Amino acid sequence: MRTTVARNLGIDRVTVWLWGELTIRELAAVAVFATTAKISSIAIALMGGGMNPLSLALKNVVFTALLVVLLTKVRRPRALTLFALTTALISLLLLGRGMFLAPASIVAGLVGELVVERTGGFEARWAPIVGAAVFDLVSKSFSLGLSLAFMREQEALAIVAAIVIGIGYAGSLAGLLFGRVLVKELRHAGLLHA
Amino acid sequence: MQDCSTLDIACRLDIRTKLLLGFGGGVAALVLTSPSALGLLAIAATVYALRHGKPRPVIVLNLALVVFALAYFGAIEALGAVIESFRQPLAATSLSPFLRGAIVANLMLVVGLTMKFSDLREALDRWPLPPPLRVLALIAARCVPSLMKDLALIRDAVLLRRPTWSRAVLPLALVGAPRLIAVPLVVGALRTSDELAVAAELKGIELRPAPDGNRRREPWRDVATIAVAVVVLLVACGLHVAARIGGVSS
Repeated sequence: MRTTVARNLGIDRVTVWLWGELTIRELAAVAVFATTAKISSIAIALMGGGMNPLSLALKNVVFTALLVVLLTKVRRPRALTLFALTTALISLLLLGRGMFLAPASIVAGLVGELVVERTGGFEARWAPIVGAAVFDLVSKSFSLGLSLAFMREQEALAIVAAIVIGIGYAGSLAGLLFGRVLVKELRHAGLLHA
Repeated sequence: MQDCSTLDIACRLDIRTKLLLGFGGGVAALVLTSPSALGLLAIAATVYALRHGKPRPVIVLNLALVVFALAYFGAIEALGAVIESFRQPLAATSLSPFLRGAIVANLMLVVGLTMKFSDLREALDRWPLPPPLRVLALIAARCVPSLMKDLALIRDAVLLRRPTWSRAVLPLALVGAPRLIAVPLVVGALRTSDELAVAAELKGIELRPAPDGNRRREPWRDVATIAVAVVVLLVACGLHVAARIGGVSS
């Protein structure tokens, strides 16, 4: 019998819709994966000696790969949105970063879930890849838009920002493929049962 | 993470005040275009950041911004000397993106440098978050210290595996690293989430009320800082309007 977190906590239907039908097991997975994704991004940036193209791409590879594994493990509505929300919260409170991108990240999560729902649902084989791809695309688009707004007086500077975001997005695309490979290996090793 | 025992302002401010200042400053930086208004905000943000008790990162950040701006304008000038289409007048508005960067970076640096894990947990306890989100955020916040230790181990393993000749070239250490980094991270995350879930299921989901013994002290500092920020913002808006009127009339 499926016991949801929302019902356990005795909260209303609207809140149940907002936070999805996640069990505590799934909620814990979302929290741990979101934290791992965000903290590993910071660590990779530091290991790479700062913001160079390689570490920029690599941190996106690992972030997206972790997201694909999470979405394979937790095939539920709101998992992606809660992941986005948690990473934004951690980024905001620990690094003071992403204050403007936090709402955009949540919107990207909701759009990703909407696309997954419209393209076969959360149980579909490609749902994790589709969700992660749409989330990355929308959140990177918001980042690009914000960068262009901040640098509107200097077109050349905006181009530099666009290149940096483009490198990050290339890493995200590689992360989709790497995440798929990782899911297969984890299933083979018996660590992922979804 | 900094020890906030020193007599500095930002450490004594509530996290909500720091976030409010960061968000307000960011919105103002985004909306305003006048270099004088942005310059005033940048100076105010730098002074505010310098008061956090550990000025070195703030100085390094601002110097880096200055060096980046000089390098950028140098490159534009050099390109303009060679290629006709790159030639552009060096208007004062060209500085605006850099000033915006200085405002946002300084305000956010204060949040990053003065935040402690205990503050994070305290803030999460105080905020009126919906129950599932509070559970989610608390699990996430409690994972951070152990995750940092795991990442240090992974980093050491990656550094040990790279060839000796590449040690001078740090980014090369990351070639082929996705597998080395992601596999232990994912396996660790799967195990941690399972353990946490089992623990939560066994104990039940406990929704703790906000603790009474919050370390909130001196709320007047928050009020005073916000008041100063509002005054600075109003002056910056005045400068912006004056610049626009001056631009229209000329």
